[in-house]
Amino acid sequence: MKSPFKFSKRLVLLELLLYTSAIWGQKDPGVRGGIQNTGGGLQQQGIPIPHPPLISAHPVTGATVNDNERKSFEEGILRAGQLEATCDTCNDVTDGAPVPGELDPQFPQVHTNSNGTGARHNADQCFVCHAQPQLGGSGGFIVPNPSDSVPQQAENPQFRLVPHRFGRLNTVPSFEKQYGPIREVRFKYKPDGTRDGGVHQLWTVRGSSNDPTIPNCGLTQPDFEAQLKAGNLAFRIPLQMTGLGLIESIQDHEILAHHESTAALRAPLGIVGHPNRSGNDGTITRFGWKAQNKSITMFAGEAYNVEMGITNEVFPTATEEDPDCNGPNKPLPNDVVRTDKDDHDNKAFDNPLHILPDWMQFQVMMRFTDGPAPDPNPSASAQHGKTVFSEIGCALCHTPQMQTAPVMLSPVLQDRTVNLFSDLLLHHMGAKFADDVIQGQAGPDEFRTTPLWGVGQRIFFFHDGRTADLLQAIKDHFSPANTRYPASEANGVVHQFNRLTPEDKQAILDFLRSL
Amino acid sequence: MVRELQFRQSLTLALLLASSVGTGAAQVSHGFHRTFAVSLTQPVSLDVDLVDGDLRIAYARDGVVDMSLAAQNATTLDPQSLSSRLVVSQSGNRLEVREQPLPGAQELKLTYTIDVPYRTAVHTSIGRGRQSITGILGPVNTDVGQGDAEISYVSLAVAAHAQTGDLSFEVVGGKIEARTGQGQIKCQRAPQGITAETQDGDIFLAVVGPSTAIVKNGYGRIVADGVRDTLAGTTSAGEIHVKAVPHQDWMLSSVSGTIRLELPPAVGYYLDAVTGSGELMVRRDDLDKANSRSRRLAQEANTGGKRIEVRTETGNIVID
Repeated sequence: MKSPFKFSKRLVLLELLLYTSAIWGQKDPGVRGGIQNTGGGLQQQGIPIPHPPLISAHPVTGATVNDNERKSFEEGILRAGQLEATCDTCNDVTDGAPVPGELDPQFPQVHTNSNGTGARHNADQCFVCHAQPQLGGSGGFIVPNPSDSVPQQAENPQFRLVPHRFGRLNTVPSFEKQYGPIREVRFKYKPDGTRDGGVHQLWTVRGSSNDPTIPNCGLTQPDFEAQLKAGNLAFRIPLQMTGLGLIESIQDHEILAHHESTAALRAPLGIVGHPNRSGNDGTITRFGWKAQNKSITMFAGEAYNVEMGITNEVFPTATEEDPDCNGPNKPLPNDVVRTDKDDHDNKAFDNPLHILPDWMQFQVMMRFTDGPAPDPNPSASAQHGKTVFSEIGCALCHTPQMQTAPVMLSPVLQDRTVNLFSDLLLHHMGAKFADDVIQGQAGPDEFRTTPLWGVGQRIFFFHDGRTADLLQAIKDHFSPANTRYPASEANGVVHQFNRLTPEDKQAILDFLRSL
Repeated sequence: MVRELQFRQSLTLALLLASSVGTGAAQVSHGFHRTFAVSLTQPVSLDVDLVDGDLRIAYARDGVVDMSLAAQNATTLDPQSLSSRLVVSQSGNRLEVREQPLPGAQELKLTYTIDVPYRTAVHTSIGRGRQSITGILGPVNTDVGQGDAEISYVSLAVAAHAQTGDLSFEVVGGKIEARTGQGQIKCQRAPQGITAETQDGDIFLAVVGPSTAIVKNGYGRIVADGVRDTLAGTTSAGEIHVKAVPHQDWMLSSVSGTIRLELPPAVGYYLDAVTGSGELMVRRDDLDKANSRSRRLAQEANTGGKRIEVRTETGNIVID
C-alpha cells in the first residue's frame, strides 16, 4: 500500500494549482426548503417547530412501533421539550402552564421527578440545541422571545436566550455569534500542560431569579476569551438526534464488512479508517463527533449531565458541586429512576407515579425517531450527483447504506436498510481539522465520518460549525501533512472532486442538499 | 411559505384497494393506504365519522396525513361492497372521513389507522368500536356509542363522551371533560384537571390538576393519587380513596361508601368530616383522636391549611 504521506505531498501541489486557477461557478443551494421554512424560521412566523418524526413502518415487513414504544416516544418528546429548572420546586415549573421562552408554548409542562439544571450548563432544554430542521434535529436558530406578541428573528440560542434566561448573569463569549453555530467548548490542555479534552460548560446559574434557594451563588464563568486567545478551545456543535436508533442497530460486523469491501479502492486514495472502540468490551463505539459514545443511552446520560448539568444514573456526580449554587431541594442524582418511599418532600403524595427519568425517556425517543427523510423528488442534477459522489470516492467513507441486525427486540428496527452515508469509522483529517482532543482511540485529528443523511437541511458543517457553505465544507476536507499531523485521508477524493466539471460539482452539491 | 392545497377530492375504496399495501399486522388480510399532503403553516383538522370499526389516530410526522384501512377475515371480504364504504375528502388542511354502512358488510371488522401531524385537531364520532388518539396538539372531541377510548399525549383540551365504554386519559395538557354511561374513567398526568362523570363505574385519577369526579350510581370507586389542586368527588356506594397533598380545597362525599384520606405526615390542613351513621376513624397524630368517637370532626392540623370537607350518609371515614 502506498504511503498516504507521499501521496499527499503530490496532492498539495495539485491542489494549490487548482485553487489558484479554478473559477468556482458552483454554489451550495442552501438549506433544503429554506432556513425560513425550517426550525426557528417557522417559529419566527408563529408556526411551532415540527416535532421529531416517528420511525416509519418497516419497508419490507410493515412492522411499526408497538404501543409501548409509541408512548415512550411521545413521553420522550415531552421530556426533551421540558424547560429544566434548577430544582424540583422552583416556580418556573408550574403544571400545565406555558413557560416563558418555551419552544412551543403549547407544550404541556407535566410535573416529573427530574429537574436539576446544573450550576454549570450549556443549555436548559434539549430541543433548544436540537431544532433544525425539526425538533430532534441538529443545532439551528431559535426565536429568543417566542411568547411575546412580536417575535424577533430566530438566532443562535446561545447568544441571548439561554445565557440570560431567568435573569442569569452570564457573559456571552465572542465565539457565540448571533447568527452563528451553537458552540460548546472543550479545553485542549489544562494549565499545567497536561491534556484536558473535557467540556467546560458555558453558563452558570448565578443571578437566577426563579430559584430562591440559591441567592448566594457567585459562580463565574471560565475566562473563555483568554482560552480562545491562547488557542486552547476546541469547539463542538450539536449533532442531529434523528435516526440514531437505526445506527445503534447496526452490528459491528456489518461496519467492518463494508470497510473491508472497499479496501482495494481506498488504498490508492490514502483512505485508511479504523473504529473507535469501547474500553470496556472492545466493541465499536459510534456516536459523537469522534465516535466516542457506545450507545444512545450513554449519549443521553452524558448530554443530560454535560450539556444541562443534570446528574443521572450514568453520570451521578455533578460537574459543579458548589453548595451555594445547588439548592437544598436538589438531591443527587437529579434525574434517576425513582425508587424512593421516603416522603420527606411529599413526592409520593404529589406524584406517586414511578415513571422513568427524563434522560432515559429521552434516549427511548431518540431510538424511535426516524432517520432524516431525503427529498422525495430530487432534481435530475441531484440524481446525477449521487452517481458522481460514488465515482469520485466520497462513498468510500460516506457509506451510503448499512443494514441493521437481523433480529432486534423491536421488529421496526431489525433487518432494515439505513441510508446513513457514513462508515461510522475514524479518519485522520489533518491539521486543518484537528482539534487536539483525544477521545478513546480517536486521535487529535481524527473524526468519525459524519453521517450525511439530513445534511440537506443542516445549517452549519463540521464539528466546530466553521462554515455554512457546503462547497467550502468539501474543500475543507483537504489538509496537507505537517510536522504534527498526517495529511487528511480525504485529500485524494477532494482532488478527484476538483477535477470534475462544474456541472458534476454542482450535481454533488445538489445531491447532498437532497439528503 | 408552503402553499396550501386548495383542492377537494373524494376517494372511494374501489380505487384505493387497487393500490393497497398491507399494514404489517399478521391477521390483516386486505386494506388500503393513502397519503395526503398538508401544509405545515396551519393546523390540520380531522373529522372522522364511523359507524363500526376501531380507530387509531396518532402522530407520526408533520406535513402528511397517512390513512390506512385494514379488514380482517379475508375469506369474507367482499371488495365490491367495501368499495363504497369509506369517503375521504380534503380541503386544504381539513380532512373528513365518513363511513357509509352497506348491507352485508356488517360482519367485517375494520381498523382505521390515521397518522397525522402533531398540530392536529380531531373530532370523531363512532357508533361502535374502540379508538385511541395519541401524540397530537388537539383539541380532541370524541363521541362513542359503544366502545372504549384511550387518549394520550394531547396538548390541548379533550372532551370524550361514551354511552357505554371505558375512557382513559394519559398526559393531557388541557382540561378534560369525560362522561360515560357505563364504564370506568382513568386519568393520569392531566395538569389542567378533569371533570369525570360515570353513571356506574370506577374513576381513577393520578397527578391531576383541579378535578371533579362523579359516580352517579352503584358501587363505583373514586381513587385519586397526587391531586395537585382542588378536588370534588361524589359517589354512591363505592369507596373514595385520596392519597395526596391538599394543595387546594377538597370536597368528598358518598352515600354509603367509605371515604379514606391518606395525607403526608407534616402537612397542614383543616378537616371537616361528618358521617351520618358510619364510623370516623383517625389514625394520625396530628388530629385529636378523642373526637373521632363522634360522627363529626372539624379541626386544624399542623397550624391549618386548605379545607378538606368529607361527608357521607352511612359510610365510614378513615383518616390515615
